Order: sequence, then structure tokens, then C-alpha cells
Amino acid sequence: MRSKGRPPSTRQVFSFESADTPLPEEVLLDTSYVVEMLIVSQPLHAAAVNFLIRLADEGVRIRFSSMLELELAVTAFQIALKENHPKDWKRFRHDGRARPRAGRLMTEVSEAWKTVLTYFEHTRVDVEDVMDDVPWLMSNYGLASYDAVHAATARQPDAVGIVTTDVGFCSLPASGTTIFTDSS
Amino acid sequence: MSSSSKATASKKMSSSKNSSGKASAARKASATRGLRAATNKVQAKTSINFSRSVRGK
Repeated sequence: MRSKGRPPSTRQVFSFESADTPLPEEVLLDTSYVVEMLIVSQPLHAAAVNFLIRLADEGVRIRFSSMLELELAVTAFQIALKENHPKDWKRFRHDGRARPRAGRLMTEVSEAWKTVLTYFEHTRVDVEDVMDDVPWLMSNYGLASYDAVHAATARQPDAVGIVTTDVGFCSLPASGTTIFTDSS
Repeated sequence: MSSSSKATASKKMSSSKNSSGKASAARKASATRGLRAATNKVQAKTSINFSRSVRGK
């Protein structure tokens, strides 16, 4: 007997906070996850590091977009601003007093990321290599441009799961999409 | 192959598996220490909501 209604979703969503989560051979790391993993004060830091160690233990390959490096730099800059001006930090982008700290933090984050990569077989994909797919992902699934770049990177040459804390990737088609995220 | 040769070969294989297992465990332990050290370096006085602050959601 055929069941009525929409067929069941084939999207697979796993928690990276669970030690039982099955691991694939390769994953794409989204910047949102890498920020949690690299910066100690982030709320999901411990869980993100534990998952990273599982990936290393199991020899999982890492794929990432070159845009991740830019987003890490922006994040470090914003954290430095927020340290100096906790309440209205966005207004102080041009406050020169935060820049030395911002520069140091950007360097620390970049160095930590490079060190992490030495423990993995990894592929860095340039943004221009996936640009043809970005407008299509945006118009078909309503992805924001940055999300579309990471999603396109995860889809070619072969589709791999995305490790992220950003709910934006949930608008990807269920078919063939695997997401590793936090449980909240 | 005599039974004593078989026993010796089996013992050698088991010993080789053990040492390879030990080397693999040592490599994993070393990687774990390295990754924990690398991910413990960036200390900040605050946290950030990446999706909201950087991606504007």
C-alpha cells in the first residue's frame, strides 16, 4: 500500500556533539563551525574540538572554501571590536584603538587554522572555481551568497556533508544533503 | 610447515599487528594533543554569533 502525501525526506542531519554520529570519508567545514572550534570563548568550542578530534582519528578528509579564510579574518576583527565596545561595537569599526588587537587576533586565528590543517588531508577550493553554481543555488533554494559559496564547494566534484552551526544550509534540497550541526 | 613453525609465524604476525596497533594509537594520541593545543591558543574576552554578525542573519 502506498503511503499518502510527500515522500519522506532523505536529508540526513547529525549532531556533531554526539560521539555516535557516523563519519563519512570527507566533509566540508563551514566557517561557522571553524569559528566555534578555533576560538576558546565560543559557546560550542568544546563540542567542536571533540568532533574535530574524531575527524582526525578516523582519517576524514577536509574540504573548505577559500572564503573561509576571509570570514575568519572578519570574525577576529569583530571580536576585537566587541572586546573594546561590548554594547555598540558595530559603531566602532573605524576606531583605530581596536585595530592592533584586531590584527593580533586575526593572525592568531589564521595560524591556529593552518596548524589544524597539518593534521588532515585537505582540499582548499577557490571561490572562483564554484562561482558558476552560486547564482543557481541562490535562486533555486534561497541561499544567501556566502552560504551558496560553501554549499557549491560541498557539491563538487562530489557531494560531501557540511559541518556547520548556520541554519541557512537547511534550505538546501533534502535529497543528497548531509549536515553535521549542533543539537540546539 | 611444521606446527611449531606455524606457531612462530602466528606469534610474529600477532606481534607485528600489536606494534602496528600501538604505532597507530601513538599517532592518534599525538594528533589529539596537537589539535587540542592548536585549538586552545585563541583566547578572547567575548564570543560572537557568527551567523548574525558576519553573515547578517
